[in-house]
Amino acid sequence: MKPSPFSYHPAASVDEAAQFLSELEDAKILAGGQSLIPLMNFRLASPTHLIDISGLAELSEIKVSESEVEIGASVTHSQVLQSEQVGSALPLLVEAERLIAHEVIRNRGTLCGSLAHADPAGEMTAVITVLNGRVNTASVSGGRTIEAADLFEGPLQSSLREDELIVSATFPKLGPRTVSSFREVARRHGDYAVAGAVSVVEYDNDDQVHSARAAFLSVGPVPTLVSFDDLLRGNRIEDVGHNEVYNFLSSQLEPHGDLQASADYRRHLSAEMGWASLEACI
Amino acid sequence: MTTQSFGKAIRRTEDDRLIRGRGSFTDDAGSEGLSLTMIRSPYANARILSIDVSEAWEVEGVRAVLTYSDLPGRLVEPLPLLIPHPSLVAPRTQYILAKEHVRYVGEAVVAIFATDRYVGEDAAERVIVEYEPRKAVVGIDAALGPDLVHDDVPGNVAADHVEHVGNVDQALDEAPHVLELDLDMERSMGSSLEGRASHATWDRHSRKLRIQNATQTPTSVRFAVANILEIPDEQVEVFAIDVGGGFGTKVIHPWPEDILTAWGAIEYERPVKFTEDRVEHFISSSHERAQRHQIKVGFDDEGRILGLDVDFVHDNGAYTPYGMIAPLITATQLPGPYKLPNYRVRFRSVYTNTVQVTPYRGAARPHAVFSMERTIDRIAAFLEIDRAELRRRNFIQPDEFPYDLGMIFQDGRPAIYDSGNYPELLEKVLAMIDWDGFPERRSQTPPGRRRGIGVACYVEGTGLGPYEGGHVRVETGGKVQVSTGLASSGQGHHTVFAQIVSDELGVPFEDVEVVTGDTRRFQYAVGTFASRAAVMSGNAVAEAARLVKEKAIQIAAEALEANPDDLEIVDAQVQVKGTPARGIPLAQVAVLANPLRYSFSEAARAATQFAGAGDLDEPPIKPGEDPGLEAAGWYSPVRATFASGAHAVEVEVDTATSEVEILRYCVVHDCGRLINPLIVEGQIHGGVAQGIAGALYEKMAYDEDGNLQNASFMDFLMPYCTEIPEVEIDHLETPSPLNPLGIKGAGEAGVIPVSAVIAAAVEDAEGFQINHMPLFPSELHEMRLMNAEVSE
Ligand SMILES: Cc1cc2nc3c(=O)[nH]c(=O)nc-3n(C[C@H](O)[C@H](O)[C@H](O)COP(=O)(O)OP(=O)(O)OC[C@H]3O[C@@H](n4cnc5c(N)ncnc54)[C@H](O)[C@@H]3O)c2cc1C
Repeated sequence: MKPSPFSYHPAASVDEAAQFLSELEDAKILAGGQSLIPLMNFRLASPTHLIDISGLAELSEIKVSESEVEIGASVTHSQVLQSEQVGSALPLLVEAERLIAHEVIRNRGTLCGSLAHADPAGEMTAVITVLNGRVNTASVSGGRTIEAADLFEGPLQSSLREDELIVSATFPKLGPRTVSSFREVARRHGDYAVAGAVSVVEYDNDDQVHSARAAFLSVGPVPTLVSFDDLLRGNRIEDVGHNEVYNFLSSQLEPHGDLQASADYRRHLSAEMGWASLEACI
Repeated sequence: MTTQSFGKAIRRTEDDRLIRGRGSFTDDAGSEGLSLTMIRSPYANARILSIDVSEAWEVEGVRAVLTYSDLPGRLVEPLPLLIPHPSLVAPRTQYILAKEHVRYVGEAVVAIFATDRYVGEDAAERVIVEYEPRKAVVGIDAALGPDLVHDDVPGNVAADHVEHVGNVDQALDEAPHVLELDLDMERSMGSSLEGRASHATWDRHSRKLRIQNATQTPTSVRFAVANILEIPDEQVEVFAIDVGGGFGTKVIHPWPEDILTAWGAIEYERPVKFTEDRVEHFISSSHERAQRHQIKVGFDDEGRILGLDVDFVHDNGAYTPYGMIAPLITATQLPGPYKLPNYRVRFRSVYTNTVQVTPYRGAARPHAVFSMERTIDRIAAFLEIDRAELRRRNFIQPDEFPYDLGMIFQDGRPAIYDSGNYPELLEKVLAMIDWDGFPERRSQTPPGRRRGIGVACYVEGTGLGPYEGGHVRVETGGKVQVSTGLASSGQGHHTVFAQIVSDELGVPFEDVEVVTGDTRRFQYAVGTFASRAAVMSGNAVAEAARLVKEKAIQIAAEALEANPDDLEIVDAQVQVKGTPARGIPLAQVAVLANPLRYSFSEAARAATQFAGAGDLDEPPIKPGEDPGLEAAGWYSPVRATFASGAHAVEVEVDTATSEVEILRYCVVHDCGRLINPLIVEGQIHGGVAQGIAGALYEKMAYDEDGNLQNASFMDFLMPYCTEIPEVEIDHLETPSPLNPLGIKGAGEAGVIPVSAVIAAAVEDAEGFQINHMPLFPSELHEMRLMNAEVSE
């Protein structure tokens, strides 16, 4: 459990990080290291160069505007969790952060690192998906934005180019009459969830559902977005009820089985979490 | 007055050091030498066709790359079979490095000595081993099938053993009711925080091989190393300063790496260190717990058991270095606190292509208790009698001790319970959890939850011989030095041995300093396992302290010109009983005990006032006496002492997620006289935590090719403290008549009945049978679906 030899490059600026990425063969960005270092210790990843962006002041900002929350790439999970600004602008981010790992890991791991890591079991991949957020990147050939829907390509595979780094992630705030909730089940406190769902429900002026959607964790290669519009629009969640939602979700979700959950159990649990997160939006 | 410390909840003297990171673990022992890296088999069952190490030699920093054919002398032999047994007809142990064949994923194949572990792992990537894989034998079904683990062991059967009491066939024939159960438990492991480790230094000037080793048995590591390296015992010193948990794995010795580090230190004249990493701990240390039991029980209308017939299969993995201790324990501990006039147990211990199985805290008693307690619950359900009442009807009664089971225990001696009070244990735990109030509580279960309650009892043979020893010496500075050959791996020996010596000798607790597990200080010991340290070494240091006290009183009597019978030791002063003014400090007695010509200290100068008081016609040290205020004491029991306990648990199971939540966990525990309740409770907490781990979280997930799929703490779900409920504890103190201190072992107890009691509570909540542990939510969910179908 020792990594292969690598060279370490602390980046002095985003530009330098982008420069390193374009010049060095087989280089990887190092943020909090909470996912990358274990992979290296198992020699499942053996990058030749690590470019450390964790100390970059220009990536350490949390910006809250009228309509959006933007989190810089060196902002840790703990900083998001403790940010009062984020807490009042987009409580869902804080609710999700609470479900991520343990304090010591949150103290180093970054929100943007979670997104770059593209783990379909990660809470932030689901949150950015359900909110239709985006990430902002930099590279020597210039930056771009990648919509959440285009960001995840497979387990631990994002659509970032090799010469590109995430500089921040942007999450739209919820509109008026819109409620969100995150529910998940993990085998132990702080573990990746066996199943989980994050729902966003927008109500019309009669307090009936106008639109509703949920993103599911751990049910496929990428976060799975399900729309409840056909089922719920013009209704109340409680009137539609557990059984219909459960059956609808059971037919929609095609999860895999693994050591912690058979495919059937995970489908069941995901449907239950889908219902629980909707119910919490009532 | 010296305050009595035996029985007091004194805080552990070890903890200040350990909590501040000032422990001294084997991996802390310097990194200037060579590091040993092992290449392990990726196949569970394969022939080795060729090994090409040439490229690894090229890596900068590599000192040597060895395969089996490079090993000298006795290193080519299989590792020792530590505990033979007549029923163990086909014992097999592994080689230090695999010879021609590998039999589990993780078996050592190549050894690399390099400047550090990073270089070692770089070099390991350059070794090419060509294997010819064969079909792997994984799990008990496969072991009973046609494929073989060892070509010369037919049926994969290492041992086939039967014991019986009474006439089971007749009892079952005549019993009014007979039930059958099929039960099984899966594998787990102890998962000590510190893995295996050894650091060996060869001092060519004094010709000593110094080994710091993370072991539960330094004296035996010493003999093993000396034997295999063919050097005198005197040249080998082994010590375990701090050991980060062992749970049984570190009783096994020698491991291949113990021998290779020792041999390498001499061969390369450099310190050599091996520190196992977590993956290695999962795939190359020991596992435990996979057994499958078939049970037939006959009983009368009142629920009294008339006959019990148990046939079980024990998966011992690829090798049997520790003999068949684990299944033997299941066999003899299965009756627990109950009277079984007719009992027969047969087991087969079978080979599989998996990591070897050796005792892990609890040592196959969890299976025994699971079998017995599930059986009792099943009878209760059948007869519709309260589960607690059924236990009452079958208990051995307090006036029936000593109670002879009629069987042979793991120490080769008759299994005779020395003392206990099982009915009282049960009543206490029932009162604690409010057993009778449960129906009322159940009726208030919140929606979405199901509530259940369970109780389980056990008896545990502890404090096995053959012997332990201890040494006590009073220094002229007043400190009392205590040493045992027996080592510590976190139990708190430094505290409890000091408590015992402090009381026996009459000195303040703070003046007693304890060193354990250092062959330079004490050469004879068996080891720390089988809940034996307090019983064995505790009684041995007590004996040593008594001898020192006798000697101190003799010497002081002469100095004070008093009758020895009139003297006592209070607060480190030998004095005429009740007359502190007529006394002499123990430190000064120590000076007198060693009549040097020189004086180094105030105590020595003060002591000269007493010198010359003796008979001038006698030599200063009389025939038969030794200088020094010191003595070694020994304790060797006729047989084991039997501790016991009862656990009760109330659970809630979630109807949506099938998660089991423990609402209350209650323990009543009887380990005889308590030396230190705080430490006993700590042992129980840890044991219950490991029990919950084995019941609800952990298993070794092998695929059919013998790959361990969850060899990391990410996938092997050792619970965090957040998963462990508060454990409520009460004690019963039934002294053991077998040893002067009246104590019984407490190290393993907590873990033993946990699977049984949680199965009982979940069964109670769900209303269908739980026959298999561990119980994961995913499986419970599937069981619900199956049972719903059956009842439809
Ligand atoms: C025990 C444990 C439990 C955990 N539990 C959870 C959990 O429950 N839920 C959860 O979501 N996560 C969990 N994590 C993961 C944790 O949240 C990680 O911190 C996070 O996934 C990655 O963030 P990081 O900053 O540590 O990234 P790193 O480990 O530094 O990097 C991860 C990957 O992303 C790339 N990367 C990082 N930042 C950027 C960037 N700005 N631009 C481009 N590429 C980048 C790296 O090159 C690397 O490939 C857990 C981790 C551990 C160790």
